[in-house]
Amino acid sequence: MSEYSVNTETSTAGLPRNARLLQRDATRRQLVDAGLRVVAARGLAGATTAAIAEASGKAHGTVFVHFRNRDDLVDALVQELGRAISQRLAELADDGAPSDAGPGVAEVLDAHLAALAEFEALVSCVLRESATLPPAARARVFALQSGVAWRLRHALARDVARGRARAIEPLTLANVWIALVNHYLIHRDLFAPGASVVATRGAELKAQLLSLLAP
Amino acid sequence: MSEPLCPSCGSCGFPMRQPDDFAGGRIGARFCSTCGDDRGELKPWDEVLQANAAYLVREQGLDPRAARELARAMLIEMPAWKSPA
Repeated sequence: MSEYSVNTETSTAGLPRNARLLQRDATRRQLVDAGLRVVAARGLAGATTAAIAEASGKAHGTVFVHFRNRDDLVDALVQELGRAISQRLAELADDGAPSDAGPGVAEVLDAHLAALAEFEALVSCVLRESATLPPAARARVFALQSGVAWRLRHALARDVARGRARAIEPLTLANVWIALVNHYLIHRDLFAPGASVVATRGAELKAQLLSLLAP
Repeated sequence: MSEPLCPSCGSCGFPMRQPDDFAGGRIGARFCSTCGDDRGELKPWDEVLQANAAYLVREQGLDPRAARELARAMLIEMPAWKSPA
């Protein structure tokens, strides 16, 4: 390439292609973060594309550069929430431990509650409206719950081997826990008015579940 | 929520942290051990769909047909399976 040749990787706006891609990713990220803030404040029903555009400081049309429609945006929001919670759960439940020295049920419950506490308002909104979510977003809710169930299954096996828990059907354990915690999250205004339901009632929920496992 | 996250499977979104999480045990593979084969390549659609549906049935007791529909709805929006807009 001669020193006078045109750099074909440069846009008309003067930005190199990589910079354009980074800018595109950054804008998408700003829209998702704004969307999560809007959902936490107004619920999913209030998370219109116009409200999210306004919260992000972007033009309404910019939303549709990055998302095909509102369902696509809602799916991205739930996906981001699921990824963040899964990440926290994996970090807190110490996945790096050898399988026989890994976390027990109590540790997995602690990790799940800590992850939920961080995103409580969002999770509550998503659970309340789960049945009306776009199919892909609803599937992500269940994929996340399956991840919790998978951790509980392995934690229960470890606790049984250690003599800390009696053997019950892992599916029962997972569904009892998910039903219990979701019930409190969905109705958090009744279980902990004006406060975090996980912070105020989480220990009680954990104790309830562990009492069912007492050898 | 903008901090970097660990890699996730391009097929199902499963977060991958440990070597066993990655297809073929290869850290850096694009797919998880459920969706990818021993070489790290994506398995056929039917196999991936069946494995993801079975996961929902096993861990949460969903109806098998409903689980298959949920798994399908999620997979088709993932990079590995999403059709160009």
